[in-house]
Amino acid sequence: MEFTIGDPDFQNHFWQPQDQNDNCAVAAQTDILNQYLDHPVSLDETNYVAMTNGWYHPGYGTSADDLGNLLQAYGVPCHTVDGASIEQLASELQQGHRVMVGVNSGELWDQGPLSEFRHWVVKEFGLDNSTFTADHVVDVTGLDLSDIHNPQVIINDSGDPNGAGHTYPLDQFSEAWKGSDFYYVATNAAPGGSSNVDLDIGQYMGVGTTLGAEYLGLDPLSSGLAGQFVDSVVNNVDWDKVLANI
Amino acid sequence: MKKDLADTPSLETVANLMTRVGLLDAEIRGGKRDAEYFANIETVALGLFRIVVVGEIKKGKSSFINALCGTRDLVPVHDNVATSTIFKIHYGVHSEYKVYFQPEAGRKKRTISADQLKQYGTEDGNPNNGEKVDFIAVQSPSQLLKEGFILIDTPGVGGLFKNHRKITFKYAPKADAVFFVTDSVESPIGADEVSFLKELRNITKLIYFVQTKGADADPESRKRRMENNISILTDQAGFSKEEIRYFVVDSNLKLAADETKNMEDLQDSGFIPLMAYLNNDLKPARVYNIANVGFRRCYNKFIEIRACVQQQRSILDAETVEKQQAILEELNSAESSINDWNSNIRPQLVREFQVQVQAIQNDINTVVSDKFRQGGELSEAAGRTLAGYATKGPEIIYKSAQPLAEEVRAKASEVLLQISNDLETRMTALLEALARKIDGSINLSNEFVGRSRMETKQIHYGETQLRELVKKGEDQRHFEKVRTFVYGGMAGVTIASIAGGIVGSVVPVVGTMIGSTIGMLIAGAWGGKEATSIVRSKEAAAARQSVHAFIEKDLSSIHVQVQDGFNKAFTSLRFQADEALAAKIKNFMSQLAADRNLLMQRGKASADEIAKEKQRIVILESQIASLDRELKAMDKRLY
Repeated sequence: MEFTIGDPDFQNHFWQPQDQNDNCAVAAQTDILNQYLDHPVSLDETNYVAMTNGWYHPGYGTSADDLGNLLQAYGVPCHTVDGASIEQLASELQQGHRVMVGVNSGELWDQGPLSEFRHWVVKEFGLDNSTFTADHVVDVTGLDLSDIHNPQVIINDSGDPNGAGHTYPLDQFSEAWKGSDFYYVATNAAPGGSSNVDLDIGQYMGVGTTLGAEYLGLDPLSSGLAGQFVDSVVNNVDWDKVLANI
Repeated sequence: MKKDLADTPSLETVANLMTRVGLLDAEIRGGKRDAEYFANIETVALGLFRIVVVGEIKKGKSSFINALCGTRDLVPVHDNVATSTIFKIHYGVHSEYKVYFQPEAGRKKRTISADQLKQYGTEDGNPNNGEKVDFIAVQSPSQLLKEGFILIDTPGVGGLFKNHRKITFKYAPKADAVFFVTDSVESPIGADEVSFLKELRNITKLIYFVQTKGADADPESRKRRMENNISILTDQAGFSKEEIRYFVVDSNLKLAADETKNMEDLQDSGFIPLMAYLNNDLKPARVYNIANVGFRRCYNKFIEIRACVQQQRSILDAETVEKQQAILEELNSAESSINDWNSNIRPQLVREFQVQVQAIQNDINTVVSDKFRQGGELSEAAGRTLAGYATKGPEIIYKSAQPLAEEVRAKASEVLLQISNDLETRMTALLEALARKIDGSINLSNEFVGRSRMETKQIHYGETQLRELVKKGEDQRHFEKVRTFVYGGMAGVTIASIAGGIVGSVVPVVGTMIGSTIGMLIAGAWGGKEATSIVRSKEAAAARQSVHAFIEKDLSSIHVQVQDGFNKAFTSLRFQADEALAAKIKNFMSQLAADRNLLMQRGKASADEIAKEKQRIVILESQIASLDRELKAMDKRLY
């Protein structure tokens, strides 16, 4: 029986390849933006906005802290989480939020048998794994739990020419995701027009955040809601007081 | 994605995590939010980064600011108009201009239109600041500003505009970056500018250089101008080549590029490397400091929450009367231990702290007196300058009075800034020492925890370890590890958390309090009388005497204000720590009472009610585990 969290089929239509070696973060955000905006925005335009604000520097890429800035700039609020769990990721997808993660591309892309052997040696002997740092950003569009013993993560990957709706086993994805210490950026709300995702999986996944909490009448503790709080703080500052002290 | 990730988490991430911890805390405490904690979230979320833009008149400062914000004419720019007041540019959902008047004007702030800016903010429209404008606040939905940047546009520092020094000393000390603007066309950095930069360097090292109007000169000329300016900075202004960060830009080209999203124009404008430097080099240091403080507060709050939920779990799991009785004994024991610590240890620690604060205050008073008293260092320096006028007539001597007074005020401001840095360092160290002593004072009694032998053994090991840590003066975070894993009892966690509270909540306030005191004192130093008030004499010797007397009177007035200002600051600092301790004790006593209440209810509750409560605890523990994971990840990035 098919059971997918998220809406990868809808999101596949928005995949596009990155047009520079190092603007994967810009491409990933552009894919997401085009799901929210009334008029599509081109990668050229988002490249411009990112460069003009210092969020993308050709030759250097985008730092983790600047991931999500493009979304905010176009009026799509988002939040970031460090050290996240797969359950949190699932929760975001279940709510229709769009999610980007930092990954180590080497763990995802087939770099040949020698590369696989090298990885095996390093892991097997517990060698320095500092090479396994995040160097790429992908959009996570779904979790396929049809075979509960072999869960798959579905992504849109701008760095892969066939990157729309590419699937990876959860283990492999987690290894790649570990490169960013399980960091993600997610939008605060689902875009209009996306598929209806109203299945409550909280009980099934033992999620301690939004869904399980709501079920027991507790206030939700989601990072999305916290993001809305933080946004409201920034938008309602007492500037008289702040400016007097500057 | 960048290969080398910036290690510091964004302030939005930190604020988000702080919010969730704060909401969980409120959930556990029956919906009541910790107001002080949530106020801290605002500080982190805003993460203000202050850029002060300085330079000679008509060098393109305002155009540069407009280009940074991506908004043409945000602050007034006209060929024949010079900015005459301070503009403070900050984020807002929509554009707005507000005029704030000086206190003596007796006028409330006023919202004006863009058309009225010239009337209030330029020399043409508001000559000699007849309108008594303090500053004009400009609100703009610019993305740069939304990230926490505040830009301060200053009037030119040219000879005609005498207030530049005052403005420099008022705004530069608090700046996270000072951008000095020169241009590609008119003239290289001149003598006045060199003199200004030398003075500025005594206040801040965070000076960066922008050469504007790049497109108005051909590439060779631009390059020659840049090299010439860098030589002047190294040869005359005392900068080393390594420390100079210099950017050549064209503001009009940047604005034109923004209007059409033209990548080529953007690249030619020179703003890409400047924005990258701002974002990836300048801002991270400030972000790190703010993130660090926010994380510490968040972590302290989290420890309290975790201990609280653990206690609730213990109470719910106590199925027999004997187990419930044992918990009640533990609560009573914790209360007794905390009371004991509060009565016997805390006063001693506070007394020691206050003695050490007094010692610092005495040192500061000595320095202040040496500098500002009649016949002190600053007075003597002024006297030596006047002695150099021995062969000059009285008119020349009287003419030198105002510049000399300003030079003395500048020196006084530098002294005050040095004192403030020293004071902040010493007070912070003292507060952290207090926190370590509080931590070290936990290991006094086996009554704290320990029903089982194994727990007692662990406590004993912890005591020794803690003593060693106190001796070595290890950082506060390590203490928390020891505390959390070794001390299972309420009292241990309570008192150790107080130490964390000192570092997390009092230390950050020290800098703000000292900063605002010094800001006020420096403003006061520049509020002295004008030299025109000196009574004139026809004799040169008498002229020198009366000018010196004027300077001494100025210094004496500054001395009184400084002593008064510092006395008030010390009084406040002395009691900050004690108040923080008292508040924490009160909170934990309330928590103990709540736990007793829960224990009583548990004894009377039905099986269904207990089952529902246990479910609730499971969810809370799951949330705590999730937050713990995120905190550890953030901890790794920060340390």
